[in-house]
Amino acid sequence: MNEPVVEFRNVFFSYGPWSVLEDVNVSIERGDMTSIVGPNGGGKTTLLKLVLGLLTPTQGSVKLFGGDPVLQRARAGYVPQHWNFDMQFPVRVIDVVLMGRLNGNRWLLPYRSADKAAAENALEEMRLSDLRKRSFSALSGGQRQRVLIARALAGDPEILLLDEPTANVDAVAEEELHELLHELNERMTIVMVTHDLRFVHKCVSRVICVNRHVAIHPTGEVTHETIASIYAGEMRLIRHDHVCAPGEQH
Amino acid sequence: MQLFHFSFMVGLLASVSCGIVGSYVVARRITYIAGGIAHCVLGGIGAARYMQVVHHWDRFDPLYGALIAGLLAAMIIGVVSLRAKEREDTAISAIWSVGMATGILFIWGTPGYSADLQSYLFGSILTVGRSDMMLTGLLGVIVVVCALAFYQQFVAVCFDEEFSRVRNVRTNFYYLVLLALTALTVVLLLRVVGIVLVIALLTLPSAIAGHFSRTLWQMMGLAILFCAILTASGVALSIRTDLPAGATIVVLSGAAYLVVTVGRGLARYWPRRKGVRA
Repeated sequence: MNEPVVEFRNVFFSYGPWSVLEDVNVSIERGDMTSIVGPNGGGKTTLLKLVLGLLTPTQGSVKLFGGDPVLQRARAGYVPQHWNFDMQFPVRVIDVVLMGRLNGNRWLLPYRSADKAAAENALEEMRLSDLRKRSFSALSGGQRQRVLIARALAGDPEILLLDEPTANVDAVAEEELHELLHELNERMTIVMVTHDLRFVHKCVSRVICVNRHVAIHPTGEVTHETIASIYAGEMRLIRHDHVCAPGEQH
Repeated sequence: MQLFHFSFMVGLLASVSCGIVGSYVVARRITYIAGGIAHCVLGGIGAARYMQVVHHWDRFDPLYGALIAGLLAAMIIGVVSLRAKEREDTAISAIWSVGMATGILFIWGTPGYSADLQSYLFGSILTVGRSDMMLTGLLGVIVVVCALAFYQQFVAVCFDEEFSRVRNVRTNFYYLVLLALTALTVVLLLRVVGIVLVIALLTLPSAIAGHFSRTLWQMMGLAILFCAILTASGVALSIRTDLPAGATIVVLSGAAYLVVTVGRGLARYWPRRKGVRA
């Protein structure tokens, strides 16, 4: 049972002529809390999408639970960027969470009672039970983020993949999110894309730095220099961007 | 009076599919695609009319031509938008105008007076008969059954396509089915308001309903209701005043949409003003 949950072997990925990832070798072990950092356009989200089989590598292989991501991804919970939604879409919190119970093998489905129970559990765990009948669009950024996590949890995942969970969320909600993720990490592997290096330093066991190439560091070893080296391109453009160094406040 | 009886029945039947599919179309923001499909349908109508007159394919009713052209347009637009998203709008515009141009060429080449062309462009709900009612009813049943049977999948695919794929829902398949249903609905609305005005009836009642709905099925229910009311009152008004029915229905819908949108805006504005003062 010691196989890695996620494994990249010599992975290259490009969008047409634009190379996004080059020769990536990464593995993530069960129970890890890993965070993916790097400049915009550096390939962080691409990395997540490769894990979920939403994209296929140009070269090399990506394995999820030792198998093809497309066949294994139902065991993963995906939490996409929460501000990319149509705010006019008529849907309630509970309806969104129930989507986590969708299953490609079931055709005609009203949701069953087991689905509803799982959705209610997930809502409760994310402290959202009171909001279940609310319109998704009426929520704050932090609440919306928790709804999307609840949706992923409703599918009973073994690994949770989050894309920028703390972006566009206020400080209180951010703190709360960190707590919740920490609790969840006790029973599942967590991988998240983030800009939030304070959080990385506090809670995360490993950092994957992506800027076309990938470097892996145990958190303790993330120094000003490692950050500077991956952000190099951007820092030349925006000189005061070195707030990313650990210990410093945003 | 028998005649008008059919008009109301066709209007009501069309409202059901219109409300359901229109809600999907508005929520998924593909009204422009619906517009492309609607206009392209003229190509099928023209071709069918040509075959009828020139080659004596008597049973090839223009509506069947419309059906084939509509489904074809839906599939082409669908595949382009799935394969090459960045070219989607170009493809829609091309389908839109080339479809219409093809229709015009066929009509030009068809001998005899093409009076019914107008009825396809602007609708002719006041002259529908039993066979129109049967066809509208049949298409309506297909649309309603599909749209409701796959409700959960459609909602999920419209709301968050990527997440649905992670849950292994066949998102491309459902997207194409949705476009096909849109094509069927367009064809069944042809007799009511005509090609040029179809998008209005497909989107306005749903857009009004969207103001009052927290879920997609509420939106559908209300959209059916609004669509039925607007169609029926449009028909009644045009019988009284001798105005063209299709255009009357659409102008009524537009007015209702305007009133509701402005009303909602004011309702949101005033309490805030009071709140500030208090």
